[in-house]
Amino acid sequence: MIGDMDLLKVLLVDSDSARSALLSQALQDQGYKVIARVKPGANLLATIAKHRPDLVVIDTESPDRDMLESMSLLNQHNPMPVVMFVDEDNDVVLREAIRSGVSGYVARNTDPKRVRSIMQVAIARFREYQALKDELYQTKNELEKGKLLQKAKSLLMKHKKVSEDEAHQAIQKLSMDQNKSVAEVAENIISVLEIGI
Amino acid sequence: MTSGLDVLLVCDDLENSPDLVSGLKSSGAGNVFTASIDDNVLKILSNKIVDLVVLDVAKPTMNLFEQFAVVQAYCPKPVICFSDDRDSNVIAQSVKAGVTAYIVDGKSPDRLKPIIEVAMLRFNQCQAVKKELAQVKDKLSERAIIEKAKGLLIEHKNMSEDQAYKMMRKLAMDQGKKITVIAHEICDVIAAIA
Repeated sequence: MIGDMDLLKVLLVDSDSARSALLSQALQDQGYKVIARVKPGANLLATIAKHRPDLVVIDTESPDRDMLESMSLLNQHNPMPVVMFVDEDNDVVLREAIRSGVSGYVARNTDPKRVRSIMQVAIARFREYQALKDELYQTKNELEKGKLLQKAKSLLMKHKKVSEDEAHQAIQKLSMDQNKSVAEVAENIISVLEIGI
Repeated sequence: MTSGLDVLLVCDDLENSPDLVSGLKSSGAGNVFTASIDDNVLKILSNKIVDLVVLDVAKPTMNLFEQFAVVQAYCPKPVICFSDDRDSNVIAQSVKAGVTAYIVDGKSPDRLKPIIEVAMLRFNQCQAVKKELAQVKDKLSERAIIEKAKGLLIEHKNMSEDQAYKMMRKLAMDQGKKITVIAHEICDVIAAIA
């Protein structure tokens, strides 16, 4: 038996309908902890930040523009799995919802028995996609760092008349002495030497 | 958005496939080709170009997911998997194998259309990130090989960094090759003589 501490915390966003009550019950029966039920509104992001859930479940007839924008912002700044249960089956809304980064989009009434697998798929997919985005972010960073280092080295070689090897060693020494990353040192060198021209 | 899609339907029970075939057709599919779970999916996909793969398998096996991991590596396709298996390990494996949508007990025809649309959109979104990642990785390894070649020229030919780079660029222009190709050749040659 898993303890209360291990239960995933769900923030349920709903309009207080009978169906939402069923969904809330289904989530709790399936081993999720519904830490709060809130109504959709302008301060949704602040509410999410306050409650710090592990995931967000939205039960709505149809998500409005505000909600889709909130989800898009959440996805950019504080990504977490979002599962959206939606009544109507509307192509435009569906497209916008996927673009806003929701991990699960379920159209039309849902049998409570299916809730658990829907949640599990959404969480697994969220992690997979997030890992991919993290890798992209890190690889871009590495490329950027390489470019900075190269530029700093070239500037040192030009302004201080040193060899590439000496420039490289100077940057590494600075990084150790100042306890800064190589990229930071490179940035400093670039800003000083470029202004000094 | 989902009209006229060519679909490959892979099922464990071909006798029960007509329902799903007609469901897919009324949800916007064009041609629906069917195959058994025992067929070689990779081979079928290399002969037939489809827009979407649908799996209808009560109990998906590791073996099946391994096949689809290979499909994802060589000819990525959106994959929808209908199953009865709620096991969380199976769900995790399916996502890892590149299954775009894993759906338990949700095969009713009126649900198919949004399921297909979500799967197509999500697949495209994921492919876009993967493509960008591959491009950035390419650039990173291009830089690495150019840096390496430059370093070898500086060390073995007593060139300055600037001279080394200009020489590589000149070679690339004269021979009509990419500078990364020249860098590879320089690395090979110097490694051979050094």
